[in-house]
This record gives sequence, structure tokens and C-alpha cells, in this order.
Amino acid sequence: MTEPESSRCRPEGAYDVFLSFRGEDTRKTFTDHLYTALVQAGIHTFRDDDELSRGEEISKHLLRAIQESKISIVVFSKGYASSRWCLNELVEILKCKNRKTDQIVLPIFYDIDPSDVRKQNGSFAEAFVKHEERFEEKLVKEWRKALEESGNLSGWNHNDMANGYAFSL
Amino acid sequence: MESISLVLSMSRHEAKFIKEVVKDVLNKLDPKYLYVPERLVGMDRLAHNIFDFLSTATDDVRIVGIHGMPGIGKTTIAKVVFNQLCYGFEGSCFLSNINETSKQFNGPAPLQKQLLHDILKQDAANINCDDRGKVLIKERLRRKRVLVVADDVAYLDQLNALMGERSWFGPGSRVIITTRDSNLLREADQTYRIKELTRDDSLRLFSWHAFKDTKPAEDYIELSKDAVDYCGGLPLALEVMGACLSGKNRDGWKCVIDKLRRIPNHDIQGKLRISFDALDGEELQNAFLDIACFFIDRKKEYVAKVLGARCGYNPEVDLETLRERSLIKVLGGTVTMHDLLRDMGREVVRESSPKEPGKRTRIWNQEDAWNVLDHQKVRAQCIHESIGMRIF
Repeated sequence: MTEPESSRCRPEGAYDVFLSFRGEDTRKTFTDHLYTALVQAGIHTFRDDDELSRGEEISKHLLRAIQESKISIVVFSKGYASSRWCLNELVEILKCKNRKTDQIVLPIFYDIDPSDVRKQNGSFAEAFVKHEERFEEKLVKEWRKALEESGNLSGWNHNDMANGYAFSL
Repeated sequence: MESISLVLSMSRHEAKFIKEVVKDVLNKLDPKYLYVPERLVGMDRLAHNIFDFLSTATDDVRIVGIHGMPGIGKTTIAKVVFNQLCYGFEGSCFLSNINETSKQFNGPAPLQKQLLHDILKQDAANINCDDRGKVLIKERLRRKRVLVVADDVAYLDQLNALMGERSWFGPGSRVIITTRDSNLLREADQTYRIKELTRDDSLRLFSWHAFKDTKPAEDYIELSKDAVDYCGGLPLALEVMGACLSGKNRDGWKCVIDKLRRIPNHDIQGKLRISFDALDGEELQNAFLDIACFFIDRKKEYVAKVLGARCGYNPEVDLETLRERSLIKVLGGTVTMHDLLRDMGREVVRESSPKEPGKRTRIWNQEDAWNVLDHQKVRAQCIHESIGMRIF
């Protein structure tokens, strides 16, 4: 983590894409389809498979995968904010993006309004009521900031597509 | 019934959505996708219309023409559309600056070669004459579904050497031609003229380059509006003037705007020249002129090395200043420049001695160089001493 970015080159086996998502919401559906499509297109994609075995902190393995990926895709679904692992992951992803100019973060808003992510409304508001009871204020603030930042990034809105929204680069 | 069809349409929608995501990820991962500036103003709609027309799946070969005045953003729009489309084809090729390349190499052979190479991903057989190139393109590409952009075409011959007939490319192929001359677009199925930016869009683009913001700073609102009015809605002029004025105080602004006012609206080169004149110091101006004459599309390290050898100090700062002023761009380690800026720079050199190339500080085309060396042998030694260094 402390290596100077300029002297670093991408290690062999580094991922092209890191997928961040809420397992309960989309593991077996959308994220699975997306993962398969990315791999089929020859894109080296990382998805975290053992959500259950997670400890308190983000593992080194996961952290490295985030740092070495060229693109992080974050699938925001209704339950994303209720998982502290997801939120910790997001914090790390944005740290990487802000430190390294060539890393790209692409949010996908899956059946959720970007402004709900940005302002933590709707299902995200409920999740944060619980977080505020359980976790330190500092940590919760960090999560809120991360969501606010990612809600402002340009990405894909799954619902808009259905209404004929032409997706542009 | 209803619920089944709903599920079906959702999943079809999802498949389409995922396809778009994958395409975008590929685009972003592939270094070959073309650079376009982050801040594009007033182009979405047109790019979208062109994209729509070209992305409709049909088996015919579709040709789109984009025309408009120099500096209006033809190439930029073509790049935006190219980036969106390029992964849907068996092969794709963006032929930039066709007019300049044809002139520089006395013919279209290098462009024919590039077209074959980019699509077939292997070096083409040697092309010793244009007609051979034409036959090769026709024979090898007529079964391939390709996307080709012919950027800045000035003569019909240039186009004919690359795409004499539609049947040279396979069914479903798409072609985009950009040109200043709409007469060259008779074959096109659709033509689009790029219009000048509206005043609001102009101000937005200008502010981005002058203030790194979407609107002018408080004290500069009126001055900005004045400057914008003299740029005639041309994105290139707005960018260069914005970058030129960035960081100057109010007096500096007034002085530049006063110069702008005196230049007639159609004389874009004259307006760009103001930014050149505003460069502080002879070395900075020399660096710009050297690049305009010799170093377009050269690697930055190479340019820095040669400039450094001449000026005797590290030219990194100068290159950075030129980049900040939007007079050059450094893309993927390569130094480039808009063709209008290049022509402005060459004009500065040419006008120092319009009739006698031998007296100019730089000679960049073969013909002038031969004439000078052949017919003015007496002066050769003197040329060698004064400008020889600058013939690369």
C-alpha cells in the first residue's frame, strides 16, 4: 500500500476488473451474468466468492485485487449499503481511484436511483439507521462520504436502459 | 401470459444491458480506443444521431459524411462515434489527417497500408503504387464487416484510393468521412453539418479552459462574454483563447480581447495567432514552431531530446506550458497539434520570407528542401549553419 505509484508497474496476473456487489441481492442473477459475459470477452475479472468467511478487516488478498485492477465495477443494489463489507470495499476502491489517476470506477445502479445512493435515501437510509447504532461515528461517516462520491460518478443505470435510455460513453 | 412476457423482456433487456457494459469495459481497457477530451460541449446530440444511424443493423454498406468549418469539431465527433461503435465490427480503422498524410508522402500508399494493417492485423504486401493498393483493399476487405473513418479528406482522389466503391467493404460495413468540403459527400447516405456552438455552450467550454469551471469567475463574466463573442462558436478557438487567458489579470484580458476584436470573424488562423504571440519568450515560441514544422506525431521523449539539444536546457517546462495553453496535446506519449494550429505555425515561418524558402528559419517539405539545396548551392553553407540544425 505504501509503494510509490509511479514506480509500480502492473504485476502479472493482475485483474482487469474488480466486481463489488451485494451477494444476497445479485450473486446468482445479474452479477453472475455480468461476470460470465466479462470473462467470455476475455476480461480478467475478480469477484469475491467467499463472502461468508470474511473477518472484520478487508483481507490482504482482496485489497490487492482492488489495487491491481484497472477498473472497479460497483453494482449498487437495494441491499448494498446494509453490508459493512461492501461499504469497506467501496471505501478502498475510492481510495485507489483518488490515488491513482489511471484507475476507473464504474457504478451500476441496479434497480436503484443514483440519488438514493448519493444521499442515502430509501433502503440505504434504513441500513444507515442500523449502522449508526452499531458502529463508530467516524466509520459511518466514511461510508456516507464514499456513497456520496460514487453516486456522483457517471455509470450505467439499469432501469434507464429499459426506457430506451441510450447509454453513452 | 403477461408475467412470462415481462420476464422475457426483462432478461432480454438485461442481456442487452450487460452487452453494453462489456463493450464499454473493453473500450476502456483497450489502449487503441481513441482519446477524446473529457469536456465535450454541445456534441452529444449529433454524436447520438450519427451513432443511431450507423448502429442500426443492416446488410448494406452505410456511409456518413460530417462536414463543417475548420476547428468546429468534425474529427472529435468522428472519434466519439468510432469509440462507441468499434467493437461491433470484424475490424476497424481510423485514418486521421488524410489530406496532410497524402501530401507529406506524395500519395495515399501509407494510408492504404494502414487500412489493410489495422483491419487484417498483419502487414500488407508491399504497395508500390496506388492502383496496387486499391486492388489489395478491394480483394482483402470485401468480405469483412468493417468500420472505417476517413478523417479530413480534401480531394476525391484521396477517397477513391481508399474506398473506390461500396463493394470494397463487406456487407454491414460502416464508413464515416469528415471533410471541409461538402461536395465530396455525394455518395454519403446521410450528411451532417456541424454548427457553431450556441453562446451558452461557448461560454461553458471557454470557462472550462479559462477557469477550470463551468462558468466564469465573478469579476470576469463580462470579459468572458466579450472574448467568447469573438470566437464565433468554434470549439478550437474557444479552447485556445480560454487557455491563453487563463491566469491573466484583467488588464491582460483586455489587451488580448482588443487584439481579437481587430481580426475578422472568418480569420481563425489570425485568432489562434494571438495565442502564439502571447507566449512569453522566444524559446517557447521556437519550441512551438519546431513542433508545428517537424514533430507532429513524434514521441514526446524524442521531441524533448531534440529541443533540449537546441535550446540548451530541459524543455519539459516549455512543453508543459504549450500543453497548458492547448497549443499542443500529448496523447499516449505522442506530441500532436490541431491542423489549424500547425498551419498557423507554418505560416509564421513562411511569412518571414514568403518568396525565398532559403531565408526561412525552417523548411519542412521535401520540395522546398530540394529547391534550396539544389538551386541555391552557393547559399548551402550558410543554410547549413543557420538552419541546417532544423532539418530533420
